Amino acid sequence: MNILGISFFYHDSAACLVRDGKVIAAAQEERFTRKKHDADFPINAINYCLEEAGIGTKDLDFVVFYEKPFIKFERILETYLSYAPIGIKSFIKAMPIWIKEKIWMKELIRKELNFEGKVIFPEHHESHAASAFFPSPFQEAAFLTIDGVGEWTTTSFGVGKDNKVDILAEIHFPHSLGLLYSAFTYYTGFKVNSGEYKMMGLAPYGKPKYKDLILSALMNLKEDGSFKLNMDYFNYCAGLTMTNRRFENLFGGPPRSPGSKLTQRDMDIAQSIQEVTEEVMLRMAQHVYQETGKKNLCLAGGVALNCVSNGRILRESPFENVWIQPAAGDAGGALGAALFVWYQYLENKRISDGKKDFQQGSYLGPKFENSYIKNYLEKNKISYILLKNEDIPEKIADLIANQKVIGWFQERMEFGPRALGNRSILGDARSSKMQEMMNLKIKFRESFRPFAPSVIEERASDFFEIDRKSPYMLLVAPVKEELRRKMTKEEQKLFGLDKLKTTRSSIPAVTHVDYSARLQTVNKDDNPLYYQLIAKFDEKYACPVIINTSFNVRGEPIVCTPADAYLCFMRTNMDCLIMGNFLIEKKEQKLLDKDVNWLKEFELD
Amino acid sequence: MLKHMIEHLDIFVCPACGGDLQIADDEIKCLKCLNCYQVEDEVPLLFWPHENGIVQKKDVTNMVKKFYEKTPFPNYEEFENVGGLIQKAQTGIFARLLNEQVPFNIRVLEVGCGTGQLSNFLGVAHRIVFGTDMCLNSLKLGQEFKKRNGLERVGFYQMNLFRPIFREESFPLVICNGVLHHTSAPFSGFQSISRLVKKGGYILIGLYNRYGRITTDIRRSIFKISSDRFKFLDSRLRDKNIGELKKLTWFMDQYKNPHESGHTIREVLGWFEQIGFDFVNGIPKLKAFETFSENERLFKSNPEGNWLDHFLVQTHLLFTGSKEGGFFLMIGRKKL
Ligand SMILES: C[S@@+](CC[C@H](N)C(=O)[O-])C[C@H]1O[C@@H](n2cnc3c(N)ncnc32)[C@H](O)[C@@H]1O
Repeated sequence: MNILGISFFYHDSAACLVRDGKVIAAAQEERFTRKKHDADFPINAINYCLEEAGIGTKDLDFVVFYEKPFIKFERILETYLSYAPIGIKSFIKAMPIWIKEKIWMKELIRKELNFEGKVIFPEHHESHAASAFFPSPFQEAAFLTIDGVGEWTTTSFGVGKDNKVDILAEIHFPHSLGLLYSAFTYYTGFKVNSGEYKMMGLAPYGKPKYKDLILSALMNLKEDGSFKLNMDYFNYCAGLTMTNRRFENLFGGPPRSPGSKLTQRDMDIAQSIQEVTEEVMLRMAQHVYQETGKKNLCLAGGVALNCVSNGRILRESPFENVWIQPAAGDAGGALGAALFVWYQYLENKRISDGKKDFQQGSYLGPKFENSYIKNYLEKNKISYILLKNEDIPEKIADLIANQKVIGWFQERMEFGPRALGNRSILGDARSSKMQEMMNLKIKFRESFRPFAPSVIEERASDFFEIDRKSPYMLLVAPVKEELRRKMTKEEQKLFGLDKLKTTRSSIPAVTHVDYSARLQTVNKDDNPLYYQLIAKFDEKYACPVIINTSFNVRGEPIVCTPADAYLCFMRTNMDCLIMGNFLIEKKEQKLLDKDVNWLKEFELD
Repeated sequence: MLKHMIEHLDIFVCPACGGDLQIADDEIKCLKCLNCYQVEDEVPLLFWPHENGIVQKKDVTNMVKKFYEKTPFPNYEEFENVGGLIQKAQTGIFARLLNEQVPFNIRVLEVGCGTGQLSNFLGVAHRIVFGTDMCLNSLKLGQEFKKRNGLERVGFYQMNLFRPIFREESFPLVICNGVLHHTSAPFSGFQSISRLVKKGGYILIGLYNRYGRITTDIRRSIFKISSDRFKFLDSRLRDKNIGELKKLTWFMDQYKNPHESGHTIREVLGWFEQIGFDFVNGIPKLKAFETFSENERLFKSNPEGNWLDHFLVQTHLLFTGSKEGGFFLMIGRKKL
């Protein structure tokens, strides 16, 4: 039985194919079209999923869209009408697509896919809940999904048991934590829907000066984590900006204009909203625990990507275990929707062992064989060295130790926003200059952005205060006390971005200014080659931790094909690129004198 | 010091006599005429005056040089790192397309690079870029940016385009944007730099268009008689989103330039023909009603268009082009 789950038209469209309950393939459309957060109909992702499964659309038994288009349409209509006439401008702006495409979803899907079979529409939060619970390792768990806005619901919780998810309660739009967070993202001058991570990265440089103000003026937060926003300060129901004049007056100024310098105030604001978010999430988790009495918790939805809060839930809430869907945004909805049909709709049995999840390391995307890579390299006259399988870990470990920055392209692409060691850029975590260097010379982004460490699973607790796996880089944990470096008197006086210049631990490149790290633990079975690389690095250089950042540059999606990887490599200051068994070194790139093909160079393969 | 030049010394020649150069103790010496050239802030001072050392009163090169030494163009005001540079370059489709379509692993020469933003941008990707200009103050800004951001493949050199410091046929791509119309002899300038292009290589020339420039010319006259009180007539000078320094730089470059000339499509096609280049592409496109697409293949051959096309295209420039300063760009390919 083949089920295709899809999400599109909001952000991050994606497709996922589930066969007999197993996820065969899942990918975001942006990776194929190279348009970040592409929200178009995910035709490329769908084609890839079908290809991976070796089937055509006629072999599909169900197509599932991750939410009910009609409910969403009504919400939009009602919201805009209740804010008329000021809402009319954004209404008109949003209207045409909604009218044209969204309400005719079923016809659209049938037509695009040339598909005659059944099309199913679970609710947005059902899809999210399904994406949180069904792939989790638990037979029984509470779930909590928090995100921007889907239909009327923005936050929901409930219980997953065997093959069912059951939603117990919901918080409705516009009282949304996701949107509150986005409003501040906007206010601190970052892009809504993609700058959230930057704001989170900025937070540790600030002090929570505005936390009380947010809690007292902007929202009414109850003990159980539910809250009402004071809509006098927000603009997202009526306008195209997120905050209004009153909001600006409250926080003493207009939003930071995007390209301008970050000030201490921006950092303070970022830290304040971060702490509020944590507070809300902790209270919610507490409440969910009381209501459900389960010892396991599953999280999904955009806000669940806030790994700082996740780490605190793990440490401070009564739950014993937490599992987080790595494709926590809308993309994950495609996966959830497909699993929802298999389990809840078709009532198939679900058995888990309580330990191993069904996400398969989230390595659910395209893979390129050595033969394919070789063909690409030779066709484009790119010189390479062919490494034997068993030589890869040592060769790359040596290069990393020599302070080289490595593009690492292996196996299947990750599903979800994080690179987990198959489409990654790697560097030496022991270096004190690496963070700034890699940000400015390779990612071309703000130097304050922290990097994440990959650590081999068995050694994680030697370096970080963590007693469990974090395979999807969704938990933040403090670096161990004994590895930290005490700040000198001078250094303590530094504030704002100057703090970046201090060395904070023996793995400074991945230690944030507050001594935290957003770590990925690497498992021997989930990703053998990546594991061997780090183990080799540990063996030779006594450090089981390396820097892992996604293989892309600012503003671009993570690379998908060898061609994407090569272009990204040549357009940055990466030193080496390893694709499959092929090592390409910058210094070996010879000047082309003849045979420069000006027209073919950039044709994708 | 001088790492970039040392690595590529094979293509350098003495601007005075064309002899081979030698680098010793951070001084550059010609092995033939024994001229010595200094280095300042890591920028080799290889400028050789146009009129063979005889300083004339109305030497355009000198006048323009003085002007740009005072007002380097364009400025780096709004950003300080590569991220910012990329962001800026991506807003204009031309720089983005160039970056996407100029092959890696080749040498690129930019003539009259000013402060070197395009050179630095193209050098972020794996290309060897030579940014040259006669204005040292501009070059220093480019050099500083390069250094701060570790763009090792880019080198800046002081050079007079009438007195090249490179061997003939050294580059598969030569870019010269917004420069020749500030010289006393645009055609011989073009001739001079076209020699540096390899056979089968490309040249990219950006010039003021005679018709596209008319609006600017009128404004300049108005400013002159009104002692600059009517600055608001220029949309860039009105724009609240543009910083003051940037405005001043634009104002000076557009309205206070000591020397400029206007050119036509026909004229440049003539240059190409005379020197042995085939026309490849133009911005705007030379065929009327054809538009330049977002994914335009810059180096793919296009029709030249006839006089009517050119008339229509240039009339269009007259009405629309003044925001960009009435520019047009032509790409030619050196015959094999
Ligand atoms: C308007 S700026 C153009 C800068 C840059 N290409 C751009 O498009 O932004 C003109 C530049 O041409 C340079 N220039 C003018 N005559 C020159 C000559 N004879 N040799 C070298 N550079 C010259 C000036 O120094 C000045 O930096």
